[in-house]
Amino acid sequence: MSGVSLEAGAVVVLLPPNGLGASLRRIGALVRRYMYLLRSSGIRLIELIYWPFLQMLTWGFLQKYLAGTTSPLAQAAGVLIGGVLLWDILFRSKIGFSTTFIEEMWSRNLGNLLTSPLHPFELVAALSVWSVIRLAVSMVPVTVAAYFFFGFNLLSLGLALAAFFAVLVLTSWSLGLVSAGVILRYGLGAEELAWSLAFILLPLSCVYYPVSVLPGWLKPIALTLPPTHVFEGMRSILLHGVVNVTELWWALGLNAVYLSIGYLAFRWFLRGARINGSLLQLGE
Amino acid sequence: MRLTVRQNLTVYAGLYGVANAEERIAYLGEDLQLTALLDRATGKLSAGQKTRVGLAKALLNAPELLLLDEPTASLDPDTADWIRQKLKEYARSRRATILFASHNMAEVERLADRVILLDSGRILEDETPRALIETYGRKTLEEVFLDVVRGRARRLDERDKPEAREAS
Repeated sequence: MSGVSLEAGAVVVLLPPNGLGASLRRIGALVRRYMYLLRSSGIRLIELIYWPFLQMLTWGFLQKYLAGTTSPLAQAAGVLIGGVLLWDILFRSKIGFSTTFIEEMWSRNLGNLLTSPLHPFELVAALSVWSVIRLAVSMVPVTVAAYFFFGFNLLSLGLALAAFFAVLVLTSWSLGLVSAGVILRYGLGAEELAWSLAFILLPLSCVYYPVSVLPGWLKPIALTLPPTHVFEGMRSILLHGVVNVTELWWALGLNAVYLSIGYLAFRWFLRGARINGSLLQLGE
Repeated sequence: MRLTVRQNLTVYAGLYGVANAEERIAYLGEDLQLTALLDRATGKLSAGQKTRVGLAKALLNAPELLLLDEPTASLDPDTADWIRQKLKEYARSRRATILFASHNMAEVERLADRVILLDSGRILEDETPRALIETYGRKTLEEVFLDVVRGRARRLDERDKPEAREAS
């Protein structure tokens, strides 16, 4: 190989490294990276829609069956598919956050990213933004299909839907942060946590049944979880046509607490991984 | 991961705040003989090609301080020599400092102005390569390294100390 002068004549124009603009630029760069990855694989794209679509079909047919039976069951059936779609918002957003983070570890890229000017909060912001984009790719076609197949219009939840969406996504980020932190601390051996953590919420958040069904001692625990208030709120709208604003405020308040705890845990685990050098060794 | 070389460099140009990313990538591509590889998947490149991509990534923002870990490890002698030449040229033209970790003492002897020998995080020596060779009375830095690592020789200026005489 022949050598040529490396820098002569090359002009590098550098933008200011600090401030909101710089942060947004770095977040944008990372989101662009995830976009490139998604675009590079058609299978990845199909997989995003495949599972929620199957889930919606299964529960949609169940709803159709129940609707054709007795009156109380028919009434209850309406909330099943709503529960499925809202649960999928939480679950898919969590998976989107965690998968993207784990893929950075699989490809041993986390060290590269965190030795660049990227701040940890910018990494978290990029993962969060990307989880919402993935969620939209997953859920928009499935929601449209739910309307055409089963006549269920998620938009019938009205403005409360936006609030439900926000609450569920915020909860998924809290879970994503905790599992990312634990993986940073314990390595990819703890990756199972990323897939299973959200399922802890499934029985406790009362996705398919009201809180009143739970035994007395479990009710206070369920009510400390933001999604419980979302599913109670959804049932209140679909069964009684009443928007319970108090439930929403509770959910948002609890989310603020969990998100703060999640971020602090992530920073704490990241600091540990930096100090003991495992940040550069993490990977397959 | 299936990002192309150009996509990878574009992302890192964004992270490092390079405003003229396209122009810079084209320049580095040409300079590091990567132009033909820019639209190929990074994961499918050879070790030497990946090293050149890594170097392009490190030079995107033309840093004054470059940190490198074993920059020529697992490369064939031709590519390794080419990389070393590039690094020397970069340090000279940019007036940059390069701090690199290496176990290849011939490489260290050729590239470094100053050598720090470390053992379990402790600094054992901190000299120029020539001074180190002279201090140990050896011909190459590799011999000095083996002396230090295996504890089989001492610095010439310590050999006359009483404890050294007792030990021998």
